[in-house]
Amino acid sequence: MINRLPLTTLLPLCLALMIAAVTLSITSGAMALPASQSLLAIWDSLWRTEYSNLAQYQQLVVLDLRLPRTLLALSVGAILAQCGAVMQGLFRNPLADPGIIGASSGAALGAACAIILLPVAMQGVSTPVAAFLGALLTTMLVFKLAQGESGTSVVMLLLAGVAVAAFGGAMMGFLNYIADDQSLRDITLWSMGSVAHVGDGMLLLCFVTMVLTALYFQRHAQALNAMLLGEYEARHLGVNVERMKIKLIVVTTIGIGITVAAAGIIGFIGLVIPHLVRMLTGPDHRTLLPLSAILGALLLLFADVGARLIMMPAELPVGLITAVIGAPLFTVLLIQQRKNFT
Amino acid sequence: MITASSSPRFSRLAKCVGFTALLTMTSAVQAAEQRIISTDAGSTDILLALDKGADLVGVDVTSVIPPQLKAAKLGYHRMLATEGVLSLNPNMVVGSEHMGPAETVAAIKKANIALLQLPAARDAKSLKENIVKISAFVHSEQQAKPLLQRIDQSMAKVAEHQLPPNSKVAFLLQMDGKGLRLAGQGTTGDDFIHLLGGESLGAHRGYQSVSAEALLSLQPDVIIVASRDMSRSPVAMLLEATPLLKHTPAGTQQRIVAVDGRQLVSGISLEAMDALVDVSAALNAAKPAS
Repeated sequence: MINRLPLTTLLPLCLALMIAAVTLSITSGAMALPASQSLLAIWDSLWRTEYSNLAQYQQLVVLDLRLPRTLLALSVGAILAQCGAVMQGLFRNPLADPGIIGASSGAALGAACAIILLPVAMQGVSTPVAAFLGALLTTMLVFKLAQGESGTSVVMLLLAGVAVAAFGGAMMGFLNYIADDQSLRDITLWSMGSVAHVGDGMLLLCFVTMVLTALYFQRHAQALNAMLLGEYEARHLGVNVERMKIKLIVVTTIGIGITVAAAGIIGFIGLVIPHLVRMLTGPDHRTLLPLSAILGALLLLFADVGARLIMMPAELPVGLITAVIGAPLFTVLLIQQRKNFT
Repeated sequence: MITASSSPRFSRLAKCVGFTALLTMTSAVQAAEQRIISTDAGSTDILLALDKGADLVGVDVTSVIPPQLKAAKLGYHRMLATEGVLSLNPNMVVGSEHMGPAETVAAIKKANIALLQLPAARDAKSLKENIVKISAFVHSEQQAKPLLQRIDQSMAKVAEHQLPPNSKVAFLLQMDGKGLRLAGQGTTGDDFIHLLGGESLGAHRGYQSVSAEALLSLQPDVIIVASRDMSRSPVAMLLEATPLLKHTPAGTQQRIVAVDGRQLVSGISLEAMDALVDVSAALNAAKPAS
């Protein structure tokens, strides 16, 4: 069992790691640029000074390529980890992640439809929009299936999620079958995720979503804590369980839909990070949610740096790296926690 | 020291364009060194044939280059990393019309790197057009002439042995014991059939799995089987795995021929032209259709 760390230790540690990760992300890449000058270039652009001696095209690499992807990785990582934490709290199920209610498979199906059925020229816009709609529609379907006379059944929600995900998988299989080789490759790469290519509008949307979801989830931290006792007990503590479920699922779906639209499917963050934080600080959602956001952002930032550097000058899809980092980390944690599960 | 712009990104980009234009012009005057990136297998083939292999600094994942060349691998041509491309400091980028993403293409243009995007060659004419465009782009017009002549000679040889009118041809990809894929519209196999003068049996788009029974019902007059493993006869392997094909018109008239699939990876290329001559000659040598 890992000793739980006090927040007074954890917060400065997270802050230091965040500064290190952001610095690393801004100073690493295929183009060899002096780290100090790269950081000065950002300082210059913020405060309109002229300390950096980088050539202007080198400044552009820092400001237009590395900085947006750093911010996107931060936002997407934070949203995914928080959504994972909320899902696990809501369903009182350690395996719940956004994929379980069909959001990921719906998004993948939407994107695949756009890649195969719509013209290539439209794909810059159509793929993220279709992915977002796919996530939203499948989650609504799953939610509708789970609603009965006595409210929303968590078990039904999970089972409907499995069924819809399986159907989505079959449809994906069909689309893959009729796709030409190029589309097939596009779908495969899209489904591995990337934070490399993002427009200003999408970046802003992700950043705002991160801030708003963080505030919204934090408001419901106490209610999620009450849910840990069980739905019945939560109702007795004054939580309107049914309304809370609907609201949190809708917000989570929007969050996931936006991240998928911006960066494709990036797995493991929503599943692994909340577990890690729970082991570090305990299950209190007041600390679990913000710390998940910070660690999720950190994991995606480090993964993205790895994606850039491992096969330079080519780039790996970042979802591969999160899986490579996340899966062994998760396994080690599981082994350490084995007796809690048996 | 360069002043960071007080206006937003577009102003910075405008300045960057001017600056890099100046850099490019200066470097063009100072030295004629070419640093070429090719992000398409077809373009890479042409550049190698034009003797530009030594100038290649980066290629995409589909391009095949001799092991002695040290060009960096840039990944999939529709998902190029902008910084990766710029880090190689190229002054020329050649690629297909599908090169992407749009942000990377825009960055290449903004950095004033000469960019040439071409459609994939579908026949001898478009192959020749691509060779002419690429050779003009990299200033190797002289080296292009023998290549253009080679294509004309190949086409003349193929014209001598055109397939009889309305010959139904099935172009199959042998999938290493995992069944067969029939070439449909938009594939190199389909283009290959048209160059031979035949009619493709694949009405669908792309490659699709096909059963022996379906093939038998299509009654192909000619079967072309593309294989990546040429160590054993692909025709013998095909007939061993799918003996039913012996009963098609192609089987009974022994008009089943093999082609090295690796020669067709980059569409109708110079290598594909050589393969076309070989297939055409093999079909001519086989027992003709009655």
